[in-house]
Amino acid sequence: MVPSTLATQRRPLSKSPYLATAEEAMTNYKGNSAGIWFQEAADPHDPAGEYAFQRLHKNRFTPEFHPKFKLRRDDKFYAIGSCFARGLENTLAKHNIAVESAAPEFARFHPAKKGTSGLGFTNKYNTYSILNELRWALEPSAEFPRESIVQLTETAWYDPNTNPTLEFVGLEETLERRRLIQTVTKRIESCRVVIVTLGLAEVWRDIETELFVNCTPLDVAYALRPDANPSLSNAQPNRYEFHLTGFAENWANLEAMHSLLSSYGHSDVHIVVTVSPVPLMNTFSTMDIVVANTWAKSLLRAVAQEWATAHPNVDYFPSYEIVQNSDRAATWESDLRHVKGAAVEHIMELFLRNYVGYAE
Amino acid sequence: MSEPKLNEMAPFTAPNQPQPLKNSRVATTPEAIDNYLANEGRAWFKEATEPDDPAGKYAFQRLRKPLFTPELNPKFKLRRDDKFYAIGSCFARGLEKALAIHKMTVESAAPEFAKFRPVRKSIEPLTFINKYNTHSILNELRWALDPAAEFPRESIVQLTKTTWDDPHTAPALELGDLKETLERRALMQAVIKRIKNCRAVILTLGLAEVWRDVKANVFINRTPLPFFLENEKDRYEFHLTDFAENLANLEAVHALLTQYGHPDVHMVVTVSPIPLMNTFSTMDIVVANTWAKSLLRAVAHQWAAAHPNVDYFPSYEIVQSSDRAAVWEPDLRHVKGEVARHITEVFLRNYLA
Repeated sequence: MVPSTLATQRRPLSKSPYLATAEEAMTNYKGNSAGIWFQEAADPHDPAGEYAFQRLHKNRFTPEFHPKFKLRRDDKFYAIGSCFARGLENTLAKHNIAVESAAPEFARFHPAKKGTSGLGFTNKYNTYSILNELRWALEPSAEFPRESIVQLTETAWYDPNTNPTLEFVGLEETLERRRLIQTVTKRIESCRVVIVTLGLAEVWRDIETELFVNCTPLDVAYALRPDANPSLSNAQPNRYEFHLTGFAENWANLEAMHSLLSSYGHSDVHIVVTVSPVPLMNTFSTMDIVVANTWAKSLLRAVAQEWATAHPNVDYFPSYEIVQNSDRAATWESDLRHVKGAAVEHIMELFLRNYVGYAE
Repeated sequence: MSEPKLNEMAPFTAPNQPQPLKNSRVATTPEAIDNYLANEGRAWFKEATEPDDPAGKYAFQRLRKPLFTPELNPKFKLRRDDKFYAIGSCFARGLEKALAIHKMTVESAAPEFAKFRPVRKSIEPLTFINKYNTHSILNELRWALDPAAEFPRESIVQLTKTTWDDPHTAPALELGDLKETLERRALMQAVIKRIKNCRAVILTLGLAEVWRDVKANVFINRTPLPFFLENEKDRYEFHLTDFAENLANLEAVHALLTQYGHPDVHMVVTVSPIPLMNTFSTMDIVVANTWAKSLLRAVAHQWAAAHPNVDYFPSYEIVQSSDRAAVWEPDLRHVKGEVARHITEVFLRNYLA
């Protein structure tokens, strides 16, 4: 089923991003084998049942899915976004798909914690930090704000535009890592497939450089617990401020990303946007973490939909829905935050089957 | 040197009354740290913590209970003698009942509708007043409150020689002739008008897939009857509504209630956890439903953040974060009675002074 193309033509009638005539809507309805939630007298446990109340009884939810476009096995892929992007990379690599974002260069760095991968350093958790990284790498006029890198101790510097998974190092090596991130990000230029994974909507901003950063600044973390590292007397927590971002700014960031990739990316670039199902770890709002997480994921899910609707080369892939609608015990590790390997494989199997046309 | 893990902070300090963000969207670092320290429900997980500790404050502990109970920090309090008005999807009717059990005055639970005959015995006549989308909530308030707004009479359509349909209602009653249809419409507007005396208005957002009557130039409350979709193909069009239009509708609701409502009106907005029954989009119903609820959830937050007299109540979160088996009837659409009671209990405990 192809979404109506009339939306743009009829736009003056209404502001809705998707419009269909009654006839088109009926065609959608009749052609949609997964369009109904419940039917009286249907057996809830019929394994072949097409109603949602039947399909949702399975341990792992499998959405019916109609991708807007197909990807090719020999396409170069680039995954950018939250830690979920790294999970996707692993699976793609197993299927011998070229994933340019899985840069081997980061393997040589020492992760601060054993068991984490050096590549976690490249995670981008919010739409600001994704856009920033793309601008610095792709746009000739965009300059990386050098003064956003802060000194933690005499020998340790910190780039808040990264994810602090590596051991902190001196200024020179910090800048070296920064150049490397930008070199790696620049490889997106040759990728026909870009997967964007949206993670967080709580964002910190560096007031001094007027820059939204990637994570909760370490200065803020140390201010909360000064005993953790007494040598950090120079922490400047007050140069940052905390934002609960709104729809419009996240939308504007994704639009700016689209125009950057249109100008500097692959001439036939295709973007798949997803929302990471991994919940927020801590909130600096007054909300319960569970409420804060649902709010953030809801916002990002809604933004992703409108972004995908606005562009023929952007599609939304429902990894968030797959996790939300699967059996908890089958989905989550014991921290109820990380998705089990088997569940990630299920998600990726669906992705590959639908977009690349094969499954394993 | 490694980063300090925020979730390994000092034990939870006895909270002062947590303050809402000064500016609902931006906080200074000291304000954010105050939020953090005062928020007992601030963290998801901590290493080496007992997952099944029933008194545990971490989300990964609290989420193991069959029914999730969020930590709440209401912006304002309501009074036991306030008049309440619930408007929105069928979930609003559930709240009304629970409020009535607690002897609260609920003006939207109008006794006048009891005399009508429902299409099925199992349906309560009051279902007729359900409003499923922000366009239809706003329309109804406008027609009842704004003297300049006129009900578009031509949107009432004739089905058979003797039956007419008002698509701004929910299809709960047996259809009547034109005279009765217009009487029901007048009664609806009379009942909606009672919102003027209510200090507490509860809005429950249900759907984001909306139909519009092109001829009468008005959004309607639900899918047109199949007869009209087959026979008047050009009359209706189908919309997947967006963030901006839903927020604009809620802003217009706020302006109307500010102008014509109770001088000290307080609004609590919730998102109905009850899923969409069927979709006219090309999406899987489950994806279509998650999209719609996510959109409404995000809009509700932004609306509440913009007004001191609007607060968001997380009934959607309570249901989403509870054990499925404990929450749903076998249709996986309707929440069990005890869940509705749990939600209302959380509501009353937090909002009643």
